[in-house]
Amino acid sequence: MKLKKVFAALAPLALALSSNAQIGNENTWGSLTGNAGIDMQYYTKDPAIGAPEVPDRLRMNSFLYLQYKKGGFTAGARYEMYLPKPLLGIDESFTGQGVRFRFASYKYKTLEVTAGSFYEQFGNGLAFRSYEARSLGFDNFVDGFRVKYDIKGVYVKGIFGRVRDFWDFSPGTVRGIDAEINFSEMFPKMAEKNVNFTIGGNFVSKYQPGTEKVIGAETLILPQNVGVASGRTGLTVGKFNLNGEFAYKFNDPSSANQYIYRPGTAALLSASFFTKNFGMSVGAKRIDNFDFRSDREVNLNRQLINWIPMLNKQHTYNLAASIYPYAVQPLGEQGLQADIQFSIPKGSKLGGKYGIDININASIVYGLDTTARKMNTLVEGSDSLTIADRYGYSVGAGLGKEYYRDFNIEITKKFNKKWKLSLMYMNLYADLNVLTISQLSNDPFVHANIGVVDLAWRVNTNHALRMEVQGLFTKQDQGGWVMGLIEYTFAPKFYVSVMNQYNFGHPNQARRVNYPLISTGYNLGSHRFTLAYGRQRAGVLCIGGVCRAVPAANGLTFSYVGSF
Amino acid sequence: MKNEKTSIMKQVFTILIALISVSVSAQNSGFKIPAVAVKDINGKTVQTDIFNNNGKPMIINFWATWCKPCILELSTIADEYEEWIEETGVKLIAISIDDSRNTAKVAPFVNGRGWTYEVYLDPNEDFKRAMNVNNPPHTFVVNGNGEVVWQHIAYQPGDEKALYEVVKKVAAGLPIDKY
Repeated sequence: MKLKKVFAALAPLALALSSNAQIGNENTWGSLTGNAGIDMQYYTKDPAIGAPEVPDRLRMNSFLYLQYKKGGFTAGARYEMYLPKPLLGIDESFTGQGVRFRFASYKYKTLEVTAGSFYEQFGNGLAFRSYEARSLGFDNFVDGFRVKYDIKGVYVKGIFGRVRDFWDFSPGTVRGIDAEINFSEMFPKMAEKNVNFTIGGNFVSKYQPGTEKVIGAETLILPQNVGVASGRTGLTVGKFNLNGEFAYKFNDPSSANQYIYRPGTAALLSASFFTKNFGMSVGAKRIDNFDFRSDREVNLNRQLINWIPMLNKQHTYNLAASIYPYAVQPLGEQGLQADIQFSIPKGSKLGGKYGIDININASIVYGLDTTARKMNTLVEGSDSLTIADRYGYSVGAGLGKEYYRDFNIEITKKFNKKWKLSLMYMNLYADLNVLTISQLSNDPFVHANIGVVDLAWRVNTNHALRMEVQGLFTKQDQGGWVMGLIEYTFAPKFYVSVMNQYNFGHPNQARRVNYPLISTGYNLGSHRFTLAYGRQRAGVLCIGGVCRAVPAANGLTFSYVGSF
Repeated sequence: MKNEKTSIMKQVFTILIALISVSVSAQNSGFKIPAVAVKDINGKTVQTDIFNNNGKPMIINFWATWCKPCILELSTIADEYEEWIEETGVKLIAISIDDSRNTAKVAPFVNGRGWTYEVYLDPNEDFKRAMNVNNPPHTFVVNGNGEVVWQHIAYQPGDEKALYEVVKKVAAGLPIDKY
């Protein structure tokens, strides 16, 4: 009923706006802009792929965001709806509808003040990042106050508020300040010499009431305030770039770390170099006990205050991206990555008229070399443990277990105006016990080879055909997969695609099933409608021009996204 | 219950149609580029409202290193970019929405492919949100007065022709069709 009222209120507003020719013309009335999205899915029970019966059958996630701006003033609000429940794969606690995200902000010269909801990131996000990944059902905006100010190369941000928790806010309060000094802006001589040097730092503190927690026979004394301090630096000299950040977290016993008192650390380091037709980067990271949330009792994606970047390539080919993707281990991991991007120049003998693009990437991630301390033997009723025993573990200088390894090479060659070919090969190792990204497997140490052939044929100016064949070969877990895709696009409005995935190597004969999916879309400028029917395997799906995460299901899907 | 569902649907579509007509009714004057802090590939902070091309049109393209259609679009345009500049003076500004997982890779990625676009980093998607972008690729055309007059989502081979037609009209000061 409430929902009806909201729509009833919004519909005439939108209609009134559409008849108002001033929309978008900032000079007189300010500008009103926004975006919207609808994902609707009709579910069919499909035991062969493990798609459950969905009693309510039809579900919809949708949102409408409107933003009004006049001069330095901006105000915005987002209406969200997840009914009768969110789409499969999205946390059911989102069930409902209403407006949680809304803000007003004012910017005068370099001073900006925001009241209400906001997204923000300090440095790389090790201490603080609030952001939204809508298709994954992730949203940790902060509701409160934010101030930003910059003067002559000094950038200061302050935040104060609570983190979103579905339709509520966290019990904890987050407070943080970040400053970054850009020396090249202070000393123009540096900029003239093509040098850019920055130093930044921040302190983020969470307050959550509650001083004691009883676990079995012991009573823990909890820190009500938990602080994270972080420092970072960035140096660019011509074509070289160096970046690093180190963060330290004071003791923060939580459900995620099994209530240990060990402080956390996180370190990131990256270096890159480029010249014409060549670029490379290397990265390293080490994370130790760095799960940081607004509520010490919650898990999964709830109420996160910080964000730890992954250190491997973000794959997009279906089988490479969505069967054994790497997942960050905030409790402890260390890894390295190297990436080389170069092109064999246009006009050279090998490169031909259009050149060849080549990307080579490798990454490896290990656990920490930990030695568990007494708390790991804690059982209910055991003799009392002291705080010192709750330090958790000690860490040596070596490597722990190997979690993930990935080597991949991708080559793209355009032969002429009509034909373009991409080839990708990837070799990966994943320890599913650690990554827990697929269902528990009786053979969790997966070694896999993946190959992709992606051929595009430009039929004429506006018509194009793309064909993809992918194979994933492994003896472990669910065995091998093959995938084929044919996509026909009629620019600028239509596309149609047919795709099938087949789990040919599944150890259980009955699970060797096909996942056919047919989809079509219509584009109207900045509005896009898509319709898909068939079986979907969980993962990132990229068809007809846009990528999005989808849950495993069988049925009919309708999507709309638009900006205006 | 069923009735309520249908009436919700009805209203959703009413709103959709209204929203689409909002953008249809807008003429050649559009909204100004909002002022949001992004970083250039050297790490220098830049306010987006200073983006300009001396009265000539600009293309603002949101992309990411992990977005295949984006890469296809930008490589396709790269083959014709010099010609576009010669004919219309247009400038393409490529906004990478890669998060800090990939920011160090953006400059090597762009240069390794020989792209000559002006590239900025928007790692927490502040500019993306201010421009109401849902998914990459999303392309805007900005006229000589710094107003966004045209936008398009997704990329299909051939879309670059339609984009360039708009750029030519904007460069010549002619009215454009929204779709």
